[in-house]
Amino acid sequence: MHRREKIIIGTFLAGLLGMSVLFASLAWVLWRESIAAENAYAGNLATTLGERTERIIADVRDMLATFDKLPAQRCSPEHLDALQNAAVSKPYIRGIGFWRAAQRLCGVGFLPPAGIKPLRADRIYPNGVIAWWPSKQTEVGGVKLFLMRYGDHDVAIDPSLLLDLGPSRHRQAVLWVDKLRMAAMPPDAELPPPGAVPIGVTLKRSQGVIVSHYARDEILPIDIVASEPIENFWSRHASLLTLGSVLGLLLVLGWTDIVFRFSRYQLRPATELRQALAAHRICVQYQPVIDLRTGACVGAEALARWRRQDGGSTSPAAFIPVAEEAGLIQEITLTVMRTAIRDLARIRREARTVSINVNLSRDDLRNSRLGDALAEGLKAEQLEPRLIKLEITERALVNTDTARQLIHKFRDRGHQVAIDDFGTGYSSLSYLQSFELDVLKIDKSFVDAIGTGAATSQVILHVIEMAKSLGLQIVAEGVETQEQARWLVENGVFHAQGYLFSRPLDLSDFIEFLRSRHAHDDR
Amino acid sequence: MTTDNFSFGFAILTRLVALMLASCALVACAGHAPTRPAAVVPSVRGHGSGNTERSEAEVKRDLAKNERNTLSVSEAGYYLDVLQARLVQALGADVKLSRTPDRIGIDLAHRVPFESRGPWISEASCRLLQPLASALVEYRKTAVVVKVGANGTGKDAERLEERRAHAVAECLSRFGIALRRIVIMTTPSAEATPATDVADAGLVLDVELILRDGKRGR
Repeated sequence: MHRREKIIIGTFLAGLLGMSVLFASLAWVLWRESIAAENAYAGNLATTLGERTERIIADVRDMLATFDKLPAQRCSPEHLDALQNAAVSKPYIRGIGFWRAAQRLCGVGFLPPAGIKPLRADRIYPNGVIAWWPSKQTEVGGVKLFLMRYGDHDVAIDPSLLLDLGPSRHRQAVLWVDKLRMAAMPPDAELPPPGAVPIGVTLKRSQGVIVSHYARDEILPIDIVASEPIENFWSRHASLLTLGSVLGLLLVLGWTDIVFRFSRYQLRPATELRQALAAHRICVQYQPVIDLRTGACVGAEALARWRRQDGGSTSPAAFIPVAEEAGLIQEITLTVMRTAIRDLARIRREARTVSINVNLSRDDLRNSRLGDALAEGLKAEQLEPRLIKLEITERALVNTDTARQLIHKFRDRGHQVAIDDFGTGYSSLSYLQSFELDVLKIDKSFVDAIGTGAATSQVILHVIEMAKSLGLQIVAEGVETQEQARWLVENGVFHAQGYLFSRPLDLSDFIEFLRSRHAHDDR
Repeated sequence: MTTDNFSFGFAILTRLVALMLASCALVACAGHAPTRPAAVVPSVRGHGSGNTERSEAEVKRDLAKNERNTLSVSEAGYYLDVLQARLVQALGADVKLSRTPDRIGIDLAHRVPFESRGPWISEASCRLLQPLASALVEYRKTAVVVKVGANGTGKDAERLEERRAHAVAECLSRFGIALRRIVIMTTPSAEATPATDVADAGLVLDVELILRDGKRGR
């Protein structure tokens, strides 16, 4: 699988994974928040109901205590008026009775004259208050009443008025006191008992409801079990969900953008080139330079080659401009130079006089980095500087002090400097004169024109004349035919390179080429 | 004056003399102890003997003869509940109560101290029983069993228990509880050991329901 495909698939998978993780995380956070909110809601409901119930009980107890202190004669009109006023002031009271021991003597409200006498009290508090939870025994007119007695008076309370669920019509709730079902809303609500539901919020997907259970044990042991359809739950938390969705969308968009940018970055040639440099996939091939008079190989031009992972290669014409644009060209020059220096040790075992030409770019002439590295490399391999020649294209030959000084320094150290691809720029004789140069390499386009009768076929003669007038050695590039070679010799050009002699070769093949050439010479 | 008139006048006179003598006796004792056994004594029975059980039952049967003093079994639970709450209200939340289906035991040890060297309780101690007695007056369908413990065995200890129980019964009766509702139970005499005449001897009142036909509550 090619790198590009890998990146595209990887990007797709990363995007998918990222979106999944984001949505899952968001859903989890929203769910947790919703559950926490629901817990608080159920807790608040239970607390409210519990506090309300406890407040009612405390109120009723205080009221009963005041009855025992009434100055009016018991069961007199004044006494009954006082009871009546109290009953009217508290809507949940269904009746108040006055008792002598276990005999109801009088009372107000909607209770039977003999009162209600359950078999057993459910709770007797330390202050002397007795409570009977709603049950069959306390049922009057279909309403199971909650009874309280303190001293000689008792009160009957309608427990359904203790349970106020607010505006939610779909919510069901049951109030349990001391594990006894005390009130329900609606009255026929079917909910599991507190023992069957864990404390907190439980989602029952199969039934499509969310059940909340909250327990409280202050004055009364209270359990609230409530349920409502999941849709209500979601709608109650709609604002949170909307906010979460927007946030999630933004996060996903952000993630997608990051992945897309990363992918684009990965797919950029410059990035690929940078990775190739790091992975040592920039290799060097050598194109022999031949002495046309003897046929001997006198040197070679080191050419950068980009070997791709899939086995293919990219042409220098394609990646050198990319490298120049991305600021990587100096790295490539250094790589080629170091490789050439390293390979020279082997090459010299075959031919001691063979030199290697290394191409420099415009960036290489802007600082001394390359020169320093070159000097160090040669020193380390104990090679003479003359074995490395430096080629500078006509277009890279910028007329700056720095470039001039660097060229001067190269030549001082013993390197020869060649102007490469000459003729493709607009250099004049006077311009060339301003640089210290040793060799001029004629561009292939002029060599191709030899013998064709084209207009450019005459230009090469002027180039040769100019080089000669400047005292420069001449090397012709791109020689492909014997005719071209013959013409060049006839016109005083004695060094050439091109497919006529050899394509660029790997080191081992170049060494083999040298051997064959020397053997040829020997013969 | 006819013979009948004379007999009637004599009878009146003898009763007056008897009353005066009784009053003198009471006044003479008043400086020594504030509360003494009453002239009309409640039923006194020993703890644990078969005779005691029968006698306690007899007392309850006597009380049950008046149906207004009795409860049906179905009312027993409610009656005991409201009585228990009333006792808590009267004696405070820290009172020690024990309950069976037809009885509430009230542990008054350390609440009502006796005189340290005698069988009596002080006026102050007696007043402590007033709220309790007021509640029990209201809940008249019960018998009140007074149990006094003494730190010792033998005749002396038994006698001390009995006299102290009488003092409690007398005190309760002063606040309105009919003596016929009160049963005194004492520990039967065993091997004689010196009675340690201490003030904080145990006092327990059992308030027992009077059920119709002698049936027990639930």
